[in-house]
Amino acid sequence: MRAARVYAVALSFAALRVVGAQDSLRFVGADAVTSRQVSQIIEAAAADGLPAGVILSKARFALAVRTPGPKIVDAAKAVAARLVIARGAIAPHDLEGDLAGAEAALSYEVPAEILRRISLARPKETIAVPLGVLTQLVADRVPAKRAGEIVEGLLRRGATMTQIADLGNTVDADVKIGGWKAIDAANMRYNNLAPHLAPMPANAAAADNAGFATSGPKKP
Amino acid sequence: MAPPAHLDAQVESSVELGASRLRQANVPTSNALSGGATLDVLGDRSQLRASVLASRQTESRWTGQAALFGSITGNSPSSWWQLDATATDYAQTSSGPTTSFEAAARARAGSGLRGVAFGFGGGTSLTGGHSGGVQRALGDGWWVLDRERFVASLGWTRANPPLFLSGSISYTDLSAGWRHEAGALSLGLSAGLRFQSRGGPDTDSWQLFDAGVWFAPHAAFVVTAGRTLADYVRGTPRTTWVAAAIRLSPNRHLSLVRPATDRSLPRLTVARIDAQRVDLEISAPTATRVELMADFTDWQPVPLEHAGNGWRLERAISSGLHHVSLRIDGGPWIAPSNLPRADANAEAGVGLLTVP
Repeated sequence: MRAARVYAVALSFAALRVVGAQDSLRFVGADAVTSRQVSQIIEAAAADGLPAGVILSKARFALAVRTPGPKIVDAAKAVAARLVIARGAIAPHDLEGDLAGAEAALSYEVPAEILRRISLARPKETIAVPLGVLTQLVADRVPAKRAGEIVEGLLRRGATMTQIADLGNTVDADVKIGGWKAIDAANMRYNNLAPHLAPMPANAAAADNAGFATSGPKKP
Repeated sequence: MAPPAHLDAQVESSVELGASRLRQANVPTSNALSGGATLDVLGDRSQLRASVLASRQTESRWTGQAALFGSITGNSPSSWWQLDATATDYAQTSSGPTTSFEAAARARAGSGLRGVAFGFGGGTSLTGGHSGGVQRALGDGWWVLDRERFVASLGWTRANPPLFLSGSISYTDLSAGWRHEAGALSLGLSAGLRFQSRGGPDTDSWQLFDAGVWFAPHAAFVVTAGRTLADYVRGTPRTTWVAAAIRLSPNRHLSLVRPATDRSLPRLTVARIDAQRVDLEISAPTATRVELMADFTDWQPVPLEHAGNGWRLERAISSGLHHVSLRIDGGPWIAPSNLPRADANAEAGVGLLTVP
């Protein structure tokens, strides 16, 4: 009897958690038809194991900027479709941030093969930041192939997430303020950073041992 | 699984012209003029670094040195071995040159961000037709944190170089270094202790400091100071110095020379405080009210707090790409001026921000 009560209470809590999760993914605020259709897309994505919050966020944004209902539905469908492609491209990365980053890159027509290479470059860590920078570079009109090479190069040369994010967040300023072409700005920042990275840190120590550590006049 | 593509080689070259104030063993403290050149080539699995330097202390005293360092590792990022080779030459007027050749093999563990390496090396030193051997045991550790790189090393050396007339010498070096590279500025600091069995004090120390700033896209001002110990294998004397130099490079660099910025345009910068929280700062000096809405606010407007010269918001935000929009003094929603706009989805007024 007591075990049955405990079981019933546990079931109640489980049911509440499901309801809570569904509420948190419910799309409200648009007209009834749009809300229902978008909610169905979100629920289907969640049932498929996709990060439905990504779709919800895009739909909420579309609503915030007063996008017509049918376009919100189309956008939600497109995001869901890209999430499926993203999941295949960056597997085994499956964190929401990783999938959201890959989906965003795909929305800028970055080929899935480039996402795959970035995934392979850092197979055991989140790649949300590199994928974010990839999207920023492409949004700035850096060709996807070159943007992918830069991001993959940074990862394979041992750049930290802060260094990678710095590049993505500053190239646009080089374009708007410095009057650079985006690809030139991206290449310069990459070329400046790469020699200082530590792809072979022991080499750096060995080079220090060899007397290279100081610039300018040394051991004259 | 497709094999990783080869990375493009990165090439950095520069020449330097400078002046220094230095003190060396058996030489009065003096001023010197110097010129040098450096070439770095960073490949997918290999590194080559070459430098030459000539210095003139007085009309009758010149010194020159050259060094070549090469290295290759196993397939990154899971490489576990590394081979290094170094060749150096040092010469000064009134005495013959000293040339050294060394090679080392190391085993590595960890990644490019943090790890350790241990190995052994050996070589020879040549002076005036005489030669002597050198053996080394080497251990290195490295840790990269954001924009900072820390390196520590422990090494043991045994040598009987021709310059050291009292037979063999052995010593243990313990050192640590820090390097900061960000934008136009670079800073480096390293220091070490040497525990020596013969040929000098039992314990001695060395220190190096360098700072460089690219004041123009192809020109940097570099200051170095330090104290190095005598290196009998490579023939370089104990030296204490402070120096300043102009470095010129054909490669374009981030520099202090930037076109004037319209400071009325809002710029958004981001810095991570800890694993959860992020500090967002918006520079909008003339604004009286700044609001932000983004995916991480569920597209609800959030007012920012005025702090110093900017507007700030501290919030838990996940790493990765985020969509952000700003409103200044109740005007239209706009993208931060320093971030790419999300135009591809016709989301004008929204910027793309990557949170580290």
